[in-house]
Amino acid sequence: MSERHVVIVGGGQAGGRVALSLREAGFQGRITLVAEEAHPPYERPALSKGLLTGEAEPDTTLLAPAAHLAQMGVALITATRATELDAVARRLLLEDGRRLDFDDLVLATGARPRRLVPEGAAGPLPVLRRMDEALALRERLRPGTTLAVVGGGVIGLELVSSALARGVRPVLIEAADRLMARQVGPAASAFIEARHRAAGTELHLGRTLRRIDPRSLDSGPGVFVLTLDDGTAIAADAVVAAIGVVPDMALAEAAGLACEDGILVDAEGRTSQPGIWAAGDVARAVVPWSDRPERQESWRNAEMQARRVAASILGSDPAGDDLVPGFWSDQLGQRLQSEGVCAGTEIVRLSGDGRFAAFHLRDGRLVGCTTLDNPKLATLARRAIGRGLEIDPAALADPGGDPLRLLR
Amino acid sequence: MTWTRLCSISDISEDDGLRIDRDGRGPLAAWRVGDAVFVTDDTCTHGQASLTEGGILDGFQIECGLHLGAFDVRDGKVTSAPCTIPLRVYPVRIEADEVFAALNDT
Repeated sequence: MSERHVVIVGGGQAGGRVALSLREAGFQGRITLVAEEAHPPYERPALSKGLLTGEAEPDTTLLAPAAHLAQMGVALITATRATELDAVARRLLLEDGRRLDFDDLVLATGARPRRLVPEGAAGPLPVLRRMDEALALRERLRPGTTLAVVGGGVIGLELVSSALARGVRPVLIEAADRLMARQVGPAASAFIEARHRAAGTELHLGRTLRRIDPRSLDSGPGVFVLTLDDGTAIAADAVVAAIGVVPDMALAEAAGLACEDGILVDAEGRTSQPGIWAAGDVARAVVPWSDRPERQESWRNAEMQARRVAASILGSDPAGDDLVPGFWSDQLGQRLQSEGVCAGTEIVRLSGDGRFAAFHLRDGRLVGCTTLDNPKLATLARRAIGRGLEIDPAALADPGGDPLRLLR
Repeated sequence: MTWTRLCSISDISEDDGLRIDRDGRGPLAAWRVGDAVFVTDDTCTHGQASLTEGGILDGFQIECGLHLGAFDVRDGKVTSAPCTIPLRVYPVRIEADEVFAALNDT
């Protein structure tokens, strides 16, 4: 009998973690990881933060050094796209004509940035998702220049923060009337907005980019002139679109796997096809905190879902499993942490030292929490959310109370 | 070995850690489990996160609040991914209620 062969498509957090977890759990069969990018599996969070400011370098973002992967017996195929999946014959075709026969297949293909092609542009605006895009942008962030960012979510705001740290003047355009509208509650949005305005970011909320033109002689400095829907003109030296992502599920869809805004999977990461699994940004999974399958675009989800898939492949229990959704974002020298979901009632609390926290309560239970520079509170909130802690909203909001004690 | 006084045992809450900032080096963490004290680096070896500020000590295991990786404070060994590099630990000596650590030899 031939060795069991696990093939992983995707060289991000989820793909890399499946490979490492399988080996750490003692899997003896073959593992092949196919990555579209030229790099071994790496963690993306630094791409909009340390890698742009120069505090991180490509090799510090790797999940494991390439030599370590080789030592662990993970065959790495980089800079190669998987082009066709035959779910019945259990075969994957690569763009260079190679054919991989598998016993188990893990789809960790991630997501692609939404493209934005404004009037006047020759093609889609630059985006930030991949290592090479981050390195190219780093070269363009020269002190004294202006960067225009379209999109006021996590990536857009981290881009703006990194630009400020490099002496670049940021301008941000967001279609919604508040920042991070998908990720935090209105009070947290307002707090974040005030901080960004104070730091010197020019914010245009509730506005969209209508067109982009090369600089004309009378438009002042900058390489481009951006025109917003209200006629405002902005000169900028570089432009990035950070307006969200769409799951990269073409391979799965063409193979007939059940997909709907993501590859549909159960709580363990099983797709509609036995022996084919999905994890990370591309997977839309059954989760305990929602009555419909959810797709999560976070480091934690990629990490935890990958561990669950590895454990499911081996028929064991995942180690260090954590089902509470969460993410962090470094902005303007502060660390924002979100735990749970920002649904229900938002209760704001400012501690004596001015640190912000917002709690989300539904049916008397803590379901979410957003903190700034308060990692202890975030950690306790994650655990309290996980066990469905019932909590008195008045006690939480009480400025004299101790939220750390309430959540223990 | 040169022993450096870091704190008093009573400065550290039971089953918790105390962050100790010292000039010229990264922050340290003094952990108290029952009557035992352990001294480690305070910064997680995976991400830039303070273990005393965001972590939770469960027995001898410190779980980082940012990526949920974990270490054993006794020997610094990694007990949970995504961490791969062990946490640096320092020899500890207790005299009366005072905690001393050998910061240069390990």
